[in-house]
Amino acid sequence: MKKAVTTVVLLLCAMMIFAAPVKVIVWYAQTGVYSQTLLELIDEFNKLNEGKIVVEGVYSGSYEDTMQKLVASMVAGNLPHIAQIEQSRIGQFLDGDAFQNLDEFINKDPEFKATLSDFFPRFISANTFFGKLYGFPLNTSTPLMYINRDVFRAAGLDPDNPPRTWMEVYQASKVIKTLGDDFYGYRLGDDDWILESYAWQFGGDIVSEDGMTVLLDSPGTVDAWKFFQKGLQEGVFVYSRTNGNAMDLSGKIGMVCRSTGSLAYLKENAKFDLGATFMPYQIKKATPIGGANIYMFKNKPQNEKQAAWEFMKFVTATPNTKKWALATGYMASRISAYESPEIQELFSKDPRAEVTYLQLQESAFRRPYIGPYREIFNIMLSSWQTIMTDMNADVEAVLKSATEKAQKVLNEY
Amino acid sequence: MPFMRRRTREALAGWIFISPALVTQVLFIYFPLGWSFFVSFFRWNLIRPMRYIGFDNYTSMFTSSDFWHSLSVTFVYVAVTVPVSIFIGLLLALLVNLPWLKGKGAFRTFFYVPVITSMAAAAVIWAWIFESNVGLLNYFLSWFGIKSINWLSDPNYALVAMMIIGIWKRIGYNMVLFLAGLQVIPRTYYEAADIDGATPFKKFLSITWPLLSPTTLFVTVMQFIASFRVFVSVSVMTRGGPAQSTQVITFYLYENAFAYLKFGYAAAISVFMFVLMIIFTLIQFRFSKKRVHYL
Repeated sequence: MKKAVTTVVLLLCAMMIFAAPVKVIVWYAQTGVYSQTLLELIDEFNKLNEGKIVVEGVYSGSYEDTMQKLVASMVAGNLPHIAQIEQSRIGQFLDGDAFQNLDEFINKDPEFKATLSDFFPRFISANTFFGKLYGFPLNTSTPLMYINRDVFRAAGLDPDNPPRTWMEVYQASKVIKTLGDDFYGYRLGDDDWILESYAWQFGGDIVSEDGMTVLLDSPGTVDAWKFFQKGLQEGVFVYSRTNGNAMDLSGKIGMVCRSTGSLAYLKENAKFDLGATFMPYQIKKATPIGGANIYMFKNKPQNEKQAAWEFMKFVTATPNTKKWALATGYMASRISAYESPEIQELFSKDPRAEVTYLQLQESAFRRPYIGPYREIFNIMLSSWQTIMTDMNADVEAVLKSATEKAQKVLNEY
Repeated sequence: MPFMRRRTREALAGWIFISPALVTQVLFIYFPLGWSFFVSFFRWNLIRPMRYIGFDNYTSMFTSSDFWHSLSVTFVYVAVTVPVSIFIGLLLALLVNLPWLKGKGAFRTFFYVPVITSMAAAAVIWAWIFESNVGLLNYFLSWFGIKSINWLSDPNYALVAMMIIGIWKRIGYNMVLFLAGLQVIPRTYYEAADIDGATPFKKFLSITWPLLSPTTLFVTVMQFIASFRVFVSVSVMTRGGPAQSTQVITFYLYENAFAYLKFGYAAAISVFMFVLMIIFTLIQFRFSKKRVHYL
């Protein structure tokens, strides 16, 4: 009798455990409308999967904070199931084999696999490492060149025919400079992905494809930096480290490259006729895919990973990526969402919103992601700041010593 | 507990009384201290397993130009902020100690406010003050015909900006300590000096300054350690830039640990800082033995 009771109790306990919904923790690294939209999607998912899966969204701070918390929780053994991680910060997780290879789930899910080609191919290739798919796009963007159409008109330039190459940017800047001493053609800053673009667009590079060689002193990168330093020397460009927003809104800047995600902010705050166009190029059309993707961690029980997979599918499904794109201004990750009437209607109302999609399909590349990249980037950044603040600094010499230093970091990694 | 001997009982009570402090100290200070010493001999990014590498972290630290650079930036910062903040702190203490001054309490409060203000919040406000186009500081300087300075974007000024904030933050603390020091100096010395016809400056030099020396020593040591550990203002306002001009050693350590995930290397830096602090504090005590006059 006693034994039977024990068995029944045990069985009941077991049933309760198995019947309890699987809990999935998702760390997100954004606030405001971004987190709000994501949390709404999570709520919707939870309602659809009531009794089976509960997804809990947890704010993990900025991209950098998220990194720190992830490595700390890795040591403590309580990683989330899914995390939103910025493009250039994933290298050490990849090297440490921390991410779940999503192909394992995709191959078991023919229904989903059939829709894989609906993602913009550049997003899939940006998340494929060593031939395996590790992440899905969540908040992705490319940089646009914003132009002050009023300044263009005042200077006698055609705002409907904005510069396409950096040489044209320079020439237009010279014309804009004639408007007054405090007018500048192009504003420079410190943003990582913009600095990466400069190098690429002049035919240079930062790190080789195989991640073994630092290429900061490649001729293209040197040309790019010389070009921008020359513009600064002549006063037709301006460099601002800390007050980019204030300068861009001042009405005295002709052109600036910023995220497509800034479109809403600039539209709302600019007191001038704002235009948006492709980021310029010189030798090569190349723009980076910025923002963050979602990754699943490998070291979790299979049933929880299965539940997390369901959520990853849900978040990137056409109606949801569409909802995300419409609410946040980031790119929809699926072609079917891009072609949907709602998004097409948005483009017909404001063609500036479409530029990033055209750019994505034409010239978007994955940003450097190798393990020691943040350190290499900081070496590059500090050299950039030297060039930007010291008009006599020798670009070639600065980049050469930066390359040596960065190569050492790479070798020691 | 009658079965215990009295001595044991007292000892036990003692341990119980200090246990809250002891536990937190051991858990959050001594254990991490020992742990970072241990970690400094490993290569560890928290993702892959730890790997023992002997003294490699130390050798790469001592051969790294960035390390020496951040150390020298830190020394420049310390060499300016410590004396200046002590000087201004002492000056303020003397001022708010004047017998005829009205509203002493209010002044003391005003000068002390920066000390209790959160540095992270203050740094955000200072970033506005330092803003080159619309910032208050440049506006103020323009009255004197000084052209707008790119405080946070110019490698020549960014560290100066950090020093200004550091000094602003600490003078209140120094003032309060000096004030306490001033108030324990017996009035009789001054009365005797008055009878001898000493000037106020002479009185300061021969009575106040020597008798303040224990306070001065304490303030110097505290300020030295605090300045050496400057971090929040740099982290919030300049991130070590532009062109590494504000890359103080703490920020260098932080970046290596939390941005580059080189925890072993960062631990080696922290061990170096720890040893350096001890050495400097010992030197200061040794040096001041002859010059500090206790009442």
